[in-house]
Amino acid sequence: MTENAIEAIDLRKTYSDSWFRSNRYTALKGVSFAVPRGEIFGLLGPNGAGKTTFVKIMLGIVARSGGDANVMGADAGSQSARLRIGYLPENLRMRRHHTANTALEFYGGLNGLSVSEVRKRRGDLLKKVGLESWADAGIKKYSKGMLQRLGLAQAILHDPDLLILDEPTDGLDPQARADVREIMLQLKNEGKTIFVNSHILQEVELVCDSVAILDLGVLKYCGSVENIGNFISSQSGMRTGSGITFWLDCDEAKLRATLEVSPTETVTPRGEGRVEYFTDRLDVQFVNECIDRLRANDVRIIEISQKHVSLEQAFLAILSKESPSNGGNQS
Amino acid sequence: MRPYLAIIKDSFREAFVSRVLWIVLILLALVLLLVFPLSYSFSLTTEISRSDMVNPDELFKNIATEIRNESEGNPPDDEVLAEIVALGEEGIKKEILELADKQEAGGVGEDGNKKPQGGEPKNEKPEAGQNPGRVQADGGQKEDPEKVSGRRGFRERMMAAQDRSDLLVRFVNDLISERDLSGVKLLDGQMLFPETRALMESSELESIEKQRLNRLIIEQALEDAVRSGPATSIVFSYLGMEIPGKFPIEKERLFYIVRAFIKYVLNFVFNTVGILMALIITSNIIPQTFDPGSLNLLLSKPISRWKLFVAQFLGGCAFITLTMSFFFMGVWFYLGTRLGYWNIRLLFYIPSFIGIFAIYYSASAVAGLIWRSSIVSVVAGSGLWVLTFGMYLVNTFCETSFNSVAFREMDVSGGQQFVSYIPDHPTRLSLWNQETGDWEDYSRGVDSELGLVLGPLYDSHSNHVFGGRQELVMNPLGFPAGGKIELLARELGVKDGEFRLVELGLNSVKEIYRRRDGRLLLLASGRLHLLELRSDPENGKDGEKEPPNENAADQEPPGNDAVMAESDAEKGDRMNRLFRARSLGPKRSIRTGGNNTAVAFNPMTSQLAVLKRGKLSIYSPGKDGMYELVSEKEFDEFRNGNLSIGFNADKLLTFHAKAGLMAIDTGSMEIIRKFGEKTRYLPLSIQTSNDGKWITFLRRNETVWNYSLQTGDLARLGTSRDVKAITFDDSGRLHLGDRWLRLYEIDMSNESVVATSQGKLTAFQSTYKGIIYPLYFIFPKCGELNYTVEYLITGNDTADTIGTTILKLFNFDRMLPVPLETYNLEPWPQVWNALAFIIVMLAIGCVIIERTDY
Repeated sequence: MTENAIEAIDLRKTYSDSWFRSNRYTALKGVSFAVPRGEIFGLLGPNGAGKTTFVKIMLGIVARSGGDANVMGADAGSQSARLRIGYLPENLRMRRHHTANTALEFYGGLNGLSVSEVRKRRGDLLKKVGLESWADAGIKKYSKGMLQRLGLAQAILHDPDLLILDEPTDGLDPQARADVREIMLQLKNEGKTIFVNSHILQEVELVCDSVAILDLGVLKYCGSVENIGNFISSQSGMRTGSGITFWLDCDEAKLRATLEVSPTETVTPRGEGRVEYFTDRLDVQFVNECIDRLRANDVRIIEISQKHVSLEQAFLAILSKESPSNGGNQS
Repeated sequence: MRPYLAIIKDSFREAFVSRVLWIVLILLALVLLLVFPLSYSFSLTTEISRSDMVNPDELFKNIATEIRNESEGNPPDDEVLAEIVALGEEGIKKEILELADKQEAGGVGEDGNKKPQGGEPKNEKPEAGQNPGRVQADGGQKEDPEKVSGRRGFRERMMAAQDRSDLLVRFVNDLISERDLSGVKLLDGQMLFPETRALMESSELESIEKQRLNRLIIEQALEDAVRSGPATSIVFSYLGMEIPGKFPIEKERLFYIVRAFIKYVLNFVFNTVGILMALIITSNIIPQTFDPGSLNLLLSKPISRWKLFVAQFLGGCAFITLTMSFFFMGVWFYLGTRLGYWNIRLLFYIPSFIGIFAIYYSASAVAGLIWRSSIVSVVAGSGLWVLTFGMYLVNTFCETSFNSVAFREMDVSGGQQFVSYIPDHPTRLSLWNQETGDWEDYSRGVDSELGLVLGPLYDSHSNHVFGGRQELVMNPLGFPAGGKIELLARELGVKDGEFRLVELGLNSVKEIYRRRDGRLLLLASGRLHLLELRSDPENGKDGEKEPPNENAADQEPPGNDAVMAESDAEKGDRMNRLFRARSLGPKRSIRTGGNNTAVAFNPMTSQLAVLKRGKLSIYSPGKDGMYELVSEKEFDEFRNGNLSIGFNADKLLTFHAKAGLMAIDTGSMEIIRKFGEKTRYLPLSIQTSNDGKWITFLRRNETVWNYSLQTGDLARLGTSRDVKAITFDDSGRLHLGDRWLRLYEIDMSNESVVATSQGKLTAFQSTYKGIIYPLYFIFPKCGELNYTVEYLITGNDTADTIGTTILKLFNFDRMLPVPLETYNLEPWPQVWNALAFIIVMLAIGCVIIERTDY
């Protein structure tokens, strides 16, 4: 058994306008990354970045043009891979003649479950997504949020190892979003891998362990959410990561004599005998030690502030570095 | 398999939830509920109606004559009729006499024409210059139509004819209802109808049975004047209340009409409105499935895409199956419980309708898959419907046009003379011209709506080709009646020749046969006649008196000598005096009238076989050439129903609607083989070879079958298809004419084609053969799937056209002198064709769904 739920190696996809036209559009340009098992993984990117294409390749909805992709150890798109995936599409629509119960029977059947198996599971499942009192109501009466919750229920009905959720909280109210997040965390605790494709970065930041950022078919970042600030700093040389800033009433030489400034820390003269010292170390003990040393050397501390780089900031920072000319190409 | 079953099950679920479905089901249920209280009962047919009269004017005239004879004490002209008249009610008889006198005096003749004042003598010879062929049965002449032209004259004739018919019907029905005819010796010496015999043997008869017996006696006594209609009449009731009026029909005919109703009415409704509704109802299944919101979810499931598409298609079909099954099972249940017509095979209409729907739906599904639009889906399905229907119409039009120039009857005879005929129009004949390699019009002089109903037959003795012409006569009440058949002849090799009437002084010619020696025999007036050239030295002096006919009833009227006297005015019409007919007997006339009669001539032995109401009579020529009855036997198998026979050497092949195909040894008069092939439809043509080896027949499905007299086996001739006409030549070779105007000469010893003649095709015919027919062949033939159902229901390979069905509904098939039109039931080609079309469409859909990135 591989350690990764999803592995993409130099994944490429080029679309043609039609069978008879030569216009082509490259959606993925050699994307490689892996999604570890048991994590909640977010795939981020602006419109046209290739996120949906990536998901569709994993599900076999579109065929890849090149590269390799595996899902739960099986070739991506194969029936054996799809058997282990639960999928909640964006803008889910279901046939209007269904109720929640019959919809679960239908989609369970498509996953190879017998009606009796579905009937055994659906009670708990609908309770989990908060639709137990709507089990026999027609889908045509459902709000978008209810439909989304039912979509989540059908995705986890056959107990898949990997859940691919496309905009899972789209259209939900804050409480429902919190509920969905709760379900995702529960599933994670059950050992499931969850692959989230979302525009709502705050949601992703709240639940995802790792993210990948795609832009114009190119992978820009893949790693933990925590490290994304450092990644940006290291990539740009800018202080865009999280850390603590000290405003001190001393010159740079005195500061360097008082504290051991590491290469990841910066000291910036601010005029009038003042400097700004930034450290990316956030642990309290280190901060206390710094304060003790500065006081012991009669350095007046004007201000101490903590800086946090949000995922959104990081996302924007990553995308802003890329000039449009480096994006997707059309031929 | 479970995922695909889930898809089909989901279609069913959708069907149940669909409001449209329930509306349709409720409407269909309402139709069934409305029909359900309709019931029927049968009673015996006793009364005679106007339409039962073959020729009411002639019967009226004859009855009036007998009433006069009776009142004036004259000897009767017709003993049977005189006996009937004697039993008649005096008041009605008086009315008949008065009406006859009044109409004669008033100038409205019994033939429906106004007569000159003062009347005219009976059986007057035709005036000089007039065509003797137009002489009426009563000897009177048709008056110049101008004299009675105009609406007034027509109305008068109609009124007079109606008065006569009404009185006649009253007279006969009074006899039936008020008299006991069982004791009257009207039918002495005749073989009774089985039903008559059964009623006579019954000790106690109810009133209606007595009336039925009376009617049967009248029918048989006046065999040539009164048709034997259905034995039973139907009375309808609704919610237990009887609906006034009786409709003469037999149970079997009722079921035939029920089948026809389902075939035409229900099929028409379902194959047009039904299909369109079904397409609308199911049009959104595939586009909805391929909506991005639901499609991505479906495609993410562990299922095969092409199977998903096929399952969706089957789901749509299942949807329609549900509705159709409900309705057709309801109809089937109604027919069984209310009409007693339990025929499980009627349910074949369900798969047939589903098949038709599947053809259109396959196109609709592919369109829905490509464009993902319900509207486009419906347009595609409906467009295919229009296209197939248009193709069907074009093909039918072309085929009808083509068939009208196809071979119908032909004759190849006379050594080097190669004569064959294609009616381009009923009145047109063609002769094969070996020099031009094409057909040459040869129909000049044939002038009849029905064309030649007998022949053509070449007489090498006189170098003439003969045919029988019949006009379709409608009596003044509008009922069709078989007119007299007149003999026509045309000499071969004469420039600007034409067919001319051969006046032999015979009543209607029933059949023409050619003996092995090439001489022609005519069956007319109940006797066989040898056609002779008057100039033949062997026939004695020109104008020699004919030997008198033995049977007084068959004597020609005075003044109508067997050979017409030549007048100055007739000099230009040489045909009238070229031929004469010499009677060859038999003494007792051969009765070939009425239904259930077949006659066949044996070219080997020159014998004549007559099978009438189950009695087989063989007439053989003696040493003097005169025919006598040599053997006779009754066969229960052939008492009722239409039949045809073929006669060669010592074997008779019988084709019977119910008994099927049988071979009879005419020596022992025993059935020697039953082939068990049942068909309600008699063959189009039965031909016998001069060498006594074959009886060959052309079935209505345009295939040729040979009965070998040597082995007694029956086999289809090779892969014969599309055959329109067959004939044997003098050397025993079979000639086949097919739909493409090809004529094949077949050596029967090895069934090999020894010669082929192909007539030139017109541009239209070539277009049809080269483009339209192949296109039609590969196109789905939705309407023809019903042929398959009809074949499965009836087991017959031919079926009645809609026109024939309507005629049968009103029992006109018993009255018309011509065979009614049928069409072939090729049961399987359209099934394979439909399956191929559906498979191709689904394959296209599968390729698209597999190759498309959604």
